[in-house]
Amino acid sequence: MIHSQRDLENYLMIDNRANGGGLMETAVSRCSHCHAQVVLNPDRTRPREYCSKCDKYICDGCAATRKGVDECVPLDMVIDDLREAAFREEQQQRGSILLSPKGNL
Amino acid sequence: MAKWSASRRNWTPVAVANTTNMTAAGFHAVQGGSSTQVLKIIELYMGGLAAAAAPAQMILARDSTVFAGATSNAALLAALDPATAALAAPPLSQDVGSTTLPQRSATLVMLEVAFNAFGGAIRWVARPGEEIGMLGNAASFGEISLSHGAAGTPGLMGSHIIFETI
Repeated sequence: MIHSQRDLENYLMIDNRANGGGLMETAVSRCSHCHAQVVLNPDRTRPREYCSKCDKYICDGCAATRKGVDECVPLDMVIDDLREAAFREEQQQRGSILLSPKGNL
Repeated sequence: MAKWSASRRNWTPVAVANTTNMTAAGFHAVQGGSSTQVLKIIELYMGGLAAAAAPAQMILARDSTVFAGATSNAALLAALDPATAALAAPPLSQDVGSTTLPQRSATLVMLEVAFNAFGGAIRWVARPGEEIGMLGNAASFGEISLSHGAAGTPGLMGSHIIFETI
């Protein structure tokens, strides 16, 4: 299904009206590679960094890191892999049947 | 899975630099309950309670050193649904660390926002599937803290972090 990157935006509200300031409501984008929240600047003229492999926006820091490498390592995948490895290790230490959080192995 | 709220009321953050020990009672941290537990942070809220202007620099970040040995706990942990079953290894929501105080990572900042704690409020909400993920209970994926940056003026506030356990 085709979706817009705007469908994936998070929400941030900063309300300083009680102390004489203003109200700011803005979209926030999550970097797919590190989960940092990036406040989207509507006046940005540079292209937003985007990973075509995971089809998500990434932050400038992660984009700089992957320059010339062009590898995609979404943090969700890293968490899944680490959890899987920790679970396997735990099961092996107990000497029990391997059942992963994702199902039978 | 079940959604939980880790909340702190009437606390004043203490300004601290990255990779430096935080001050007991001056932060609000959430740590996974086991080495394989996954938490997904759904919402962050801060409400200012200061009696005078206090431009606070609040930072939600992963911790490069996680707290340990906490014996008291002013941060409350409650399931949003009263029917939620108790977890075998519930996450920890702490504001102290008796043997080890947490240190904020210099690089893994998730959200940095400033607001005036004199009545100001901040609310961040994740779209489903776009949450901030945590894994385990060790550095750096296993703990996220809300703390005050080295600049600015901390003020009295209340906060909650809503997350889902998986």
